[in-house]
Amino acid sequence: MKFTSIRFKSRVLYTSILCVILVIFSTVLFSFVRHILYRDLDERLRIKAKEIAGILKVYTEFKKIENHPVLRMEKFFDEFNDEAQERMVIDDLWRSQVQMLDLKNDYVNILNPQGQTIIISGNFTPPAAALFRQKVPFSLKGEIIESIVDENYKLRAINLPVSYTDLRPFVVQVGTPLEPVLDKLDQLLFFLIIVILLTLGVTSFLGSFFARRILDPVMEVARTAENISHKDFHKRVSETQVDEEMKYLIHSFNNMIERLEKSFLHISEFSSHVAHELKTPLAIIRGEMELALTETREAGEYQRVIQVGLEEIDRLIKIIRDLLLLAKLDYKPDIFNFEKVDLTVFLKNLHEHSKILADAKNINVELNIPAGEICIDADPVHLRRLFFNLINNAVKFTGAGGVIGISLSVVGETVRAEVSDTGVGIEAEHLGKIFDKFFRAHKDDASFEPGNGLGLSIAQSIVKAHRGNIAVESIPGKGSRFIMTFPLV
Amino acid sequence: MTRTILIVDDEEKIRKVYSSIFSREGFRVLQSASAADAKEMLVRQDVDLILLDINMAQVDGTVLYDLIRAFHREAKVIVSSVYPLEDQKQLVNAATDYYDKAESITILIRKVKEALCEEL
Repeated sequence: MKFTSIRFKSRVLYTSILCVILVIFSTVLFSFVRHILYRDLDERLRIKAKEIAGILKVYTEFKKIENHPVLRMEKFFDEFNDEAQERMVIDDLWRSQVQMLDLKNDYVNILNPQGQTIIISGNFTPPAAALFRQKVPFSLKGEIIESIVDENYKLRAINLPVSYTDLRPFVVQVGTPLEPVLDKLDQLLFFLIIVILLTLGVTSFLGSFFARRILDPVMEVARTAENISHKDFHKRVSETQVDEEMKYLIHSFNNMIERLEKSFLHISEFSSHVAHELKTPLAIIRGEMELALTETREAGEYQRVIQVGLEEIDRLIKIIRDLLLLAKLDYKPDIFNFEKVDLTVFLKNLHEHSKILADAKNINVELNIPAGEICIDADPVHLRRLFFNLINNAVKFTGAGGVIGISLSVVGETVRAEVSDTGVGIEAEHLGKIFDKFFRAHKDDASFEPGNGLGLSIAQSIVKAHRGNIAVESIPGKGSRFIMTFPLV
Repeated sequence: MTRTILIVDDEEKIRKVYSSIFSREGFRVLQSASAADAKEMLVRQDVDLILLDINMAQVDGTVLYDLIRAFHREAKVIVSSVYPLEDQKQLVNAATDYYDKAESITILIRKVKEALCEEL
């Protein structure tokens, strides 16, 4: 059993808590029982002492008073008329009354006001007397109850001063065995200890079962986690028959696997896309070159083949560069250096550069921005790339005489920038895929310069990294419009 | 008898170089840049062999393959792609042959000739 395990710790914890509770409870119970037992014993002791006092009173009185009822009874024994016999009858009466008190095992010591013993019980031997003197204080003032416990005697003793009118005061001391009470207490203690130990044992044992049951889902999650690999994402942990709190763990775990699976698929698809895109230029290069080598060609033909080779190599390089950028954008956003950028100034600049591009195709570039400062948090280098990708596309897909528009506006806390064109537009069915990697809407159309389909994907990644959004609207044949929003600073 | 080969591929430069290769080998070559185009071509022309790219961006080449098999059972179809051969076979499992575009063109020529020679 591992000492750092939850099972061990919970067992120890629960057992300790239960132990403390049981001990406190037992202590309280024990004290209570002890209190009651002693109280009852003391009460009996008190009664005994009072009874003895009562009897003594009668006896003493009787000795003095002639008309005592007992004496009257004596009349019945008139024929005896013997003092000794008379005394015997009285003593018998007294004895029978004393017997009713069941003083068999008790120690009786009756003292005069000076503290001298006048009457004792048969068992009141000198050792007992010494013990009484020592432990039971003689007092005329009030009742005192003490325990006398040594190796030979275990008693509960009372010192009861008695004073009746017409009589001199005296003190009754009675000691009664404490053994019955002590025995009962011992038994109780023993019983409690056994019960506590048993309970702790059983609980400790059961606690282990419960801990294991609770931890089973956790073990299940761990086992599943061990078995998940890129080869098998299909395992899930079952959510049935599971406690509430564990459901949350299992649910989160299953969701995590799902997300991992999706990410993995995404990466797989991306990788295979990449392979495809890279292989096509290579296939072209190879085809041309192998063909060229099959026979002797004219110089011009060789030049053409070499030219094609170079074009495709450029295409490869561009794809690879763009892919690397995309990878960085998606996974390492800390390549951005954000600063406050005034978009009105930025777009004016962009406008100037775009005109150079657009003039070659006789396309007009219009700028529509409000006066004043409009700032966003941006990385100027990437922002420039973003807009250039859009402008490039606009120029590419717009015919001579067309118009490209760059505009800027503020709506509430949002900055809205638009790049529009009067070009060929995008079919409705392609609008949803236009930001996908490698997607080219006009791949078949030879009139357009080929691209690698990553430009808009990169644009979208850049916008997202700037906490913005990009959307597209388009009417085929009329033109397209790309709308970007950024939070205003 | 001159055989006719239809090249279906959305990449212009690929069509161009394959076309040159097959013309040089004495075949008559037709080109289609998309599945729609190819369908139309097949309706109008008789074709002995189709070199079909199954990774075209717009339309899934496998769909076109099924169409060809349905309407032109006699035509030989060599599936071409940049994907490895095993993957191609998984996508289309009953083509006449398969060609990985990154391989040498001599392999392509051989496969085309073999596919057509079976008849002779």
